[in-house]
Amino acid sequence: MNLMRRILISIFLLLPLSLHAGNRIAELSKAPARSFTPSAIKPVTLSNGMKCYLLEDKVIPTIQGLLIVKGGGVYADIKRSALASVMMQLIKEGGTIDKSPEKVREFLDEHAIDITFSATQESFEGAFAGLSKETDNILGIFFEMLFDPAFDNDILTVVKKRVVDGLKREMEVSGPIAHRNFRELVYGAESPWGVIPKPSGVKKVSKNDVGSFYNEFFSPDRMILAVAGDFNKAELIKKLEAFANKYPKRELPALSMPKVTATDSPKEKFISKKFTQSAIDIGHLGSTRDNTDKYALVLMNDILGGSSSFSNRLMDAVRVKGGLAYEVWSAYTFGPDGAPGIFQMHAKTRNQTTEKAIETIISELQKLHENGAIKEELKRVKTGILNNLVFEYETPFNIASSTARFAYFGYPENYIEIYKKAIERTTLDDVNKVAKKYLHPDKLKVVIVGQKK
Amino acid sequence: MQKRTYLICLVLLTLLAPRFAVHASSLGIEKNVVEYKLPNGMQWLLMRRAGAPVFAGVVQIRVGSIEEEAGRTGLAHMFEHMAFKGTDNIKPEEIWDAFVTNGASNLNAYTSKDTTAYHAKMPASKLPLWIYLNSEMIKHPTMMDFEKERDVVLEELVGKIENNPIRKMDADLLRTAFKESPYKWPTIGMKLDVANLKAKDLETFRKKYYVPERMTGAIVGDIDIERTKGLIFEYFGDMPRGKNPPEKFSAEPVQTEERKVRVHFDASPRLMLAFHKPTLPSPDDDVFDVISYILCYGENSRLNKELVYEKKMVQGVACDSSYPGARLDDLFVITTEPAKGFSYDEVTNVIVAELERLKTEPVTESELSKARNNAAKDFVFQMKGNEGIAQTLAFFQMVAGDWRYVTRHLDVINKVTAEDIIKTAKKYLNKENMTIAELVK
Repeated sequence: MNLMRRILISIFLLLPLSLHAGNRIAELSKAPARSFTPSAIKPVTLSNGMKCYLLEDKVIPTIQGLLIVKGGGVYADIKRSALASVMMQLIKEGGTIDKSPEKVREFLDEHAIDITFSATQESFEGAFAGLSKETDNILGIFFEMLFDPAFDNDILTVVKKRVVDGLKREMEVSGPIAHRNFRELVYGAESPWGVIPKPSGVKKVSKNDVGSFYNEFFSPDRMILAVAGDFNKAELIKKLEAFANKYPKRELPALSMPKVTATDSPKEKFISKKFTQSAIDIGHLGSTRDNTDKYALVLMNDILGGSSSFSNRLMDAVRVKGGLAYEVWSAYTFGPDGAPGIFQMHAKTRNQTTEKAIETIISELQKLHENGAIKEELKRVKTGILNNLVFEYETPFNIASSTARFAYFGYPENYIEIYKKAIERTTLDDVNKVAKKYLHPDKLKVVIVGQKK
Repeated sequence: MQKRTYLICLVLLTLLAPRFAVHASSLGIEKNVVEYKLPNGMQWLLMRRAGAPVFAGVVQIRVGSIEEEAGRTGLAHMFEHMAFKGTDNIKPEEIWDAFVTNGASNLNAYTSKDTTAYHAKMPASKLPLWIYLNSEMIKHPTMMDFEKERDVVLEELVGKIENNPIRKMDADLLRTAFKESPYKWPTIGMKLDVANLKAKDLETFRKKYYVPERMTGAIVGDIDIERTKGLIFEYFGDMPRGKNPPEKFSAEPVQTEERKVRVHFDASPRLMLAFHKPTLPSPDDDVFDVISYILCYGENSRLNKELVYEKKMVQGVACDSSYPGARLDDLFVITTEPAKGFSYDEVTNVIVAELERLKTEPVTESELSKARNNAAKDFVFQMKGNEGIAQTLAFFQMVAGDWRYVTRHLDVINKVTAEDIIKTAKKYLNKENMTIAELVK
């Protein structure tokens, strides 16, 4: 009797404690993220057509910029592999009409200036960063490299060797091998959206190829610039106008973005490599940015495997319950009109459990496709996205560069607010409809890199 | 995982010149950091900054893989995983989800040779939740689903070490360069050790090392300092002080002859040259930071200029002046990727010749000046965001014993001369102190 009483008392004593602790998370989660919407940055268009988003930030003595140029890797001849990447590296390292490559390097070192140039599939990008007292030197060398590149032949050799070597090294690790082959399988080997760059194609790239390719894109009226830092906006505009006079716009032919012609159909590719762990990619085509179902698709993907939550379906089934993988996720991306993004589910698992992991992943996809999500899942991912949106405004440079990217994609200036409202009003029914409409378990492309067991 | 970031940061922070001092004070770091120590010994560093209503927080614990012993490795990293697997009061899936649904950004944890850290950025209104969840993870973890999580860690190990040529090479280099130091085993642990880990071993390990005196928290952002102190006291103040175990590590014997390891992997060439050196606060450690910059970090640094652009022998070159950690004597490492047509010996000879040049020919004032300018810039950018500040303060508090190490270090670095570089190079950059690792098919 005494023992039973003791147990009961213990339970009663424990229960409130446990309830209290369980409720603690709910109680502490109640405080909503404070609303924070900085006023939109009005763009300034220079006389040469360059659109600028400028935001003063007097707190730290730095200046930071992002330049987006209309163009991108998909415009290049697929036989000249990685032409876009070679060109951008050559803008960085190949010197200018007035300065040898070594003089440029020395100038950057001396004034502690960071400058990078890179290519994505649908844009070319440049970035700069340095101390604000070096603003004139930073802008001067950045625009000189951008508009007066020398494309030094000797450095072209260095860059091509590096790109070839980089491609080889990329194909020595299971994840990148799977990702490259998955894109090729989804978009087709002849599509600029899916082609795997070949070392033999890089070797063919000449200085002439780089120069001609450059001349198709690099006019200031096809550029958007974002700058944040310790400057006076009116003074900065004057400086930028001086560069605008020096680098006027050029007449360029209209651009026509290559379309995606592939359609979804099931296909599997196994790539034999002596790894003890297999990399798996499964999926199909994604969608486009103008799709009005985009917000429901974002939420659907978070429920499946896109959020960093351990409760998303793939993480729960493959990692938490299955112990099959450390890395498992899904992504649903959106491309421009005529070129949908990609839907991809990825995991790495030991060779012995590859089949089991694939079965688990496809089974989770089927369940979501057929039965949809539940309201608790939607609430969880929705709350996560909405609470996290404040980080879009975390720093002035975040604000300026995001605004420039939205402008590049043709989104309105208040896109974050539009996104927020669209996420808020998306219903469970919307999510379940898109799971039915856009997920195709019967049309999956599967890539496995590893050993068969 | 992120330790290298700090070590790079350490390199940059140690290259500070008078010009830098202006920037350091204008950032207001020194005067705005508020120290708060709980009665149980746990140290907190707090800093309020204007801007978006967000904060960055980190809890660093002075426990890394060097606290383990041969045959029982992987404990620190395994516990880092288990910290997210539920507590006495919270179900396993609730912890991570509570962070994510409340808007956490860059939510993660990492274990290094020297420390374990739990970090995130969150909306300012979620500060009480962040402090509560971290306190739960540290004070009341359970070993729920231990076996399943051990399988996950084994998958991580297989992916990161067995199937990755770069990580495998790093591991083999350390195993060859160190004979006694606990830096010799991988942070994630040896595969057999991890496979044999038991939940009770982990609990014993946690009780021994997760004591308040070994912990530093840092919170930077849109916070109210006094309210934050109250929350910290509420959630961490009841942790018993416990007993901080003494630190005793096997001393690494002096290396007396060149060592070489060939790492077999079906991958492109990679070469590493490593030299034993003392860690902070040795003055020689400061000199190596300057050497790293002059050899590798600048666009036109010596090895970049000669190997990449002039002789075209390698694709790239990097130096690390404090590898693989900073709590124990460590290594100065030069890593490079030889281009097709050049042998390891040819590349090694060029690097060794450059090291010999450091012993005989003073570096120029221009080289020292470029290093200082870039260090100033890198420091300002490192300290630009809440997260950079929080992580850097906590890391130096943990490893150097005082976050002010950064500012104190200025005077030391400013006294480094071209002659110091000659002396240090002569003392350490010798063949009998060198370990070479080569990646071969």
